[in-house]
Amino acid sequence: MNLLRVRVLLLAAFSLCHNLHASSLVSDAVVYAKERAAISAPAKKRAVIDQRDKQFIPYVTALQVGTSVLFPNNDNIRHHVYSLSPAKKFELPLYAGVPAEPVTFDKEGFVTLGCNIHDWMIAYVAVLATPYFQITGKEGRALLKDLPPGQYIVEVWQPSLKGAPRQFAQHVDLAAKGAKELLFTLDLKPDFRAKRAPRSSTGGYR
Amino acid sequence: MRGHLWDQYNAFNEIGAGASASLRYRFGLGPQAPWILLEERIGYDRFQETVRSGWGESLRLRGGIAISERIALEAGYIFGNFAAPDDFFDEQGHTANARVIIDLTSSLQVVLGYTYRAGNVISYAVPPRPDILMLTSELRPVTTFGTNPLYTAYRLRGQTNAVSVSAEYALTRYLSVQLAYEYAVTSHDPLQYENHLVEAKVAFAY
Repeated sequence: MNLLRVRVLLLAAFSLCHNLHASSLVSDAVVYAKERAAISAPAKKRAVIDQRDKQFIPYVTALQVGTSVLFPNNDNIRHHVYSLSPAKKFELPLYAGVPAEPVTFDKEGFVTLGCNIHDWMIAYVAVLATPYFQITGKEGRALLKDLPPGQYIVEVWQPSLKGAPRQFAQHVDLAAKGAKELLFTLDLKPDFRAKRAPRSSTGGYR
Repeated sequence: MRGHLWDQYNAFNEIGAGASASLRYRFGLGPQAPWILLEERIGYDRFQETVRSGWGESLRLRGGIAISERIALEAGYIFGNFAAPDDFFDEQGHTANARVIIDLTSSLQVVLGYTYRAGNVISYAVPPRPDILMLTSELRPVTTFGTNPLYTAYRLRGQTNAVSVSAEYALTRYLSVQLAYEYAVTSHDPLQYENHLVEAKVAFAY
């Protein structure tokens, strides 16, 4: 079995102001390996991005181009899910329960999701042209398994990433039953997300 | 529900109950799309000096737009009408206001505001006050401030200009605290009154 162990760290310069609240390990980073030769693996058919307690779950989703995503609303109020991202523009106007049709992400890119009623609801979808990907947890690690032997370009994307993922790309040559370990150091923007709280400026929506 | 307790002038202590209904519409998708809010509130306010008690109504139209991720502008108009059994304490006013809302961090919001109000005001003074008598014939002795000296209330139309600054901090998704300062000048030429108002608020939503 081929393994690619990846560790994602925050750039030291940025961590000066951010280490007060966060460790230098980067979570919610999508690590993906693109084979130099085109990959023709079929996409997983369906994924789910849930809405619970007026939050999208999960915060970051990675999927292969062609995957359909269902957006069930498990709150007892209606949500209005949308994306204005070039990779997938869509809108699910105010609805409750499970929408009849999923949304198919048919173009490679990074998509920001929002709710037009609850502005603090935000989530991201990385639509990738490869089946080899994983999202880092709090420990900042990702493990890509079962990669066929070959040459890969490994990239990392995170919602707060400064610059494009290709700037951080690393080239890997995986032999049969080989294992490699990579270390990425990312430069991230401050994570600004307006908090969900009673505000005098939001017209009363929470 | 709302209430005010006064340290010295107990006559102004009040408790009120009311209900409001609002309709908010956003022109487009995303947190930066402009919105309008129409709100109507009706309630009863009972004062310790019961002659002041009565029904109040306010109709509010407010609109806003975010000019960046962290800065939003809002403007509004309020028509307020308060009817007491004793017409002398009736109040009617038109208010216009504008605010700049700045999210300094995810949790800390600073609001700068300007308010203009034109409407009824009640001025209290110890007679003889020929300068006020030249401006209004609606007057009444009141025991609000005791009987020695006995004050007279003068009802007249005035204009108020106020500037304010407030800071609001989100503690949790259900709780925020606010500290606000307002400087207001109410005038009916040549009379002029200045007010400094410091407010601390705790907002809880469930």
